[in-house]
Amino acid sequence: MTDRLDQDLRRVLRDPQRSPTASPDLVERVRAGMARRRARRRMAVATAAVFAVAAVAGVAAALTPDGRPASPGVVPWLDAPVAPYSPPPPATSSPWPTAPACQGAHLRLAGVDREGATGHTGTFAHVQNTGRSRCSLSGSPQLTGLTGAGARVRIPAEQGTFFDYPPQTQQRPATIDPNEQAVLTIETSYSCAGGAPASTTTYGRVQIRLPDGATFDVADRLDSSCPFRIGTWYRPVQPPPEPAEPWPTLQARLQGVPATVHAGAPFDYIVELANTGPADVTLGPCPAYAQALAGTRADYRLNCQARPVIPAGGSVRFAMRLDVRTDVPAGPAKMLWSLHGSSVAAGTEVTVIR
Amino acid sequence: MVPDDGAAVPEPAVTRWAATGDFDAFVRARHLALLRFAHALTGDAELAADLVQDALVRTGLGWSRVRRRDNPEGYVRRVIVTRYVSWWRRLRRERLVAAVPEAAYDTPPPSGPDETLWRLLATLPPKQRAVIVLRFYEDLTEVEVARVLDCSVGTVKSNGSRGLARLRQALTAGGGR
Repeated sequence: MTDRLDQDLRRVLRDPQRSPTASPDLVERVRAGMARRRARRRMAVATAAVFAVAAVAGVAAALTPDGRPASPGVVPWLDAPVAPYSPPPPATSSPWPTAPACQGAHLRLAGVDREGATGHTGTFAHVQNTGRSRCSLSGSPQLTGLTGAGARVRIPAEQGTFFDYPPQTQQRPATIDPNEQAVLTIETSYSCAGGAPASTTTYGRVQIRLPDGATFDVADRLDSSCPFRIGTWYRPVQPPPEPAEPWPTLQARLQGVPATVHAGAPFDYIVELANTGPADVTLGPCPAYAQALAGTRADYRLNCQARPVIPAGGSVRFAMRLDVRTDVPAGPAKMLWSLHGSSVAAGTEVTVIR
Repeated sequence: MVPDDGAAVPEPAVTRWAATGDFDAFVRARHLALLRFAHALTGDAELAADLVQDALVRTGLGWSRVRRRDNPEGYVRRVIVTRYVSWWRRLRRERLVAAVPEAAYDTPPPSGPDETLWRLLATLPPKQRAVIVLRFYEDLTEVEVARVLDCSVGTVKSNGSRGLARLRQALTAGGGR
C-alpha cells in the first residue's frame, strides 16, 4: 500500500498537465515588488496624516495650470525625457587561468552532499587539492557503478545538470589552490521531460574516475528514472559585491497625487526627496527618474540645476508631471516613482477614468 | 491572495536591483521550477504564483546575502514553505472568527483517482503536505526536509506518517484506489 501510494504521490505531484505557466514579465514583476516593499518601509517611517495634509495643501498652492510652481520651495518640473534605465552588466570575478591537471594522488574526497529540487536530485562531490600547487580539473570524469549482478559498468550520463549556475558562482574549469575544493554534480531524476518515467535504473557503489585512473566513491546507491546527468568540475566562488546604493540616505515621498486621473491627460504632483543622513547630498551626476502607471512608463531627468543639494536632515520638493496614455484602461491603477539606478522609490494607487 | 500584508502593487519600476543581473538570470532560470514546486505544495495555481512572487521579492531584497549561499534556490523554497504555512495559519484563524463559505465550482470538478488524490492532498494541514511534497516531489531525505522546515527529524517523521495515514484512510473510505 505504501509503495503504491508513494508512486501515486510522485506521479500526481509531478504531473506535467498540472504544471502552471510562468509569467512572461516575471522579472519586472519581481523588481516592482521589491521597489514597492522598500518604498513601503520608507513610507511607514513617515507620519501619514501630516504627510497627507501637507500634500493636498502643498500641491494646490504649488502648481499653476501649466505645471510650473506657483509657490516658493517647489522645484519646477523639467521636461527633459531620457532613455529608460539600462542596468550595467553584472559584475563577475575573473576566472583563474587554467593550471596543470590535478593528479588523483593529490586529491581527496572532502565530502558528498545531496539536494533535491523540483523532482531533480543533485549529488555533489567535493574534492580537495591536497597537493602543494594549483591545479585544474576540467570536463567531466567517468561515472561507474555496480549493476544488480555486481558488475562494474560505465554509467551513461548526459552532459549538463539542473544545478549548473552561471560563472558568477561556479567557475569552470575548476582551478584550485592547495586546500581548495572543486565540485562535481551528478543529477538523477524522477521527472523526465515528456512525461512520467517508465522504469528506474539503480547502480550501487557509484564512483567517479579521473583520467589518471584515480577513483572516488561518491554514493552507495544512485537510482534514476531519467537519464543520469553529469556536470563539469567547477570551483565555487563568492560573487563580487553588488554596487553600492548611490543615495542611501534619500527617501522619496509622493504628495498631491490625485485620487482620480484622466486617460489621455497629464496630471501634476510632487515628489519630496528627504535626506535622512547627517551630510548634505549633492545630486551629481544628476539622476533621472522613472514614473510608472498601469504598466506604462516615462523617464525624465530630475531638475537638479535648480536645487543640486539636499541638505542634511532637510528635503527638496520637485514638481512632477505625468501624461496618462489614452490606452490606459479605466479603473484602479498602480503608480510608482523611482530614481534610476537606486532604491529610492515611492508608490501609490490612483483610479483612471475615461 | 498574496500571503503578506499586501498594499499597493505598482507596475514596473526601474531601480538599482536591475543592476543585479545574476538575480534576474536566477529568476528567469528558476521561476518555472519554483512555480511548479509551489503549485505542488499548495494545490492552487494562483496562490503558488503569489507565494513565488513574494519569495522572490524577499530574496531579491537580500540577494547580496542570499547569493553567497551555496544554494540560493533552496533558500527561496524555504521561504515559500514558511510563507505557505504561516498563510494557512492566518487563514485558519480568520475562519475561526468568520465563517467562510466553501468555494463553489462553476463546473463539476475533474474526476479520476489522480484528481481524488490531488484534492485530498489539499485537505492536509500545510506541514503534513509540505513534508509529503518535499519527500515525494523534491525527493529530499527526512534530514533535508527537517532542514527546510526548520524542525526536528522526529517532527518530519510524525507529520509525514500522519499525512500518509490520512490519505490512505480517505482513499480507502472513498474507494479512491
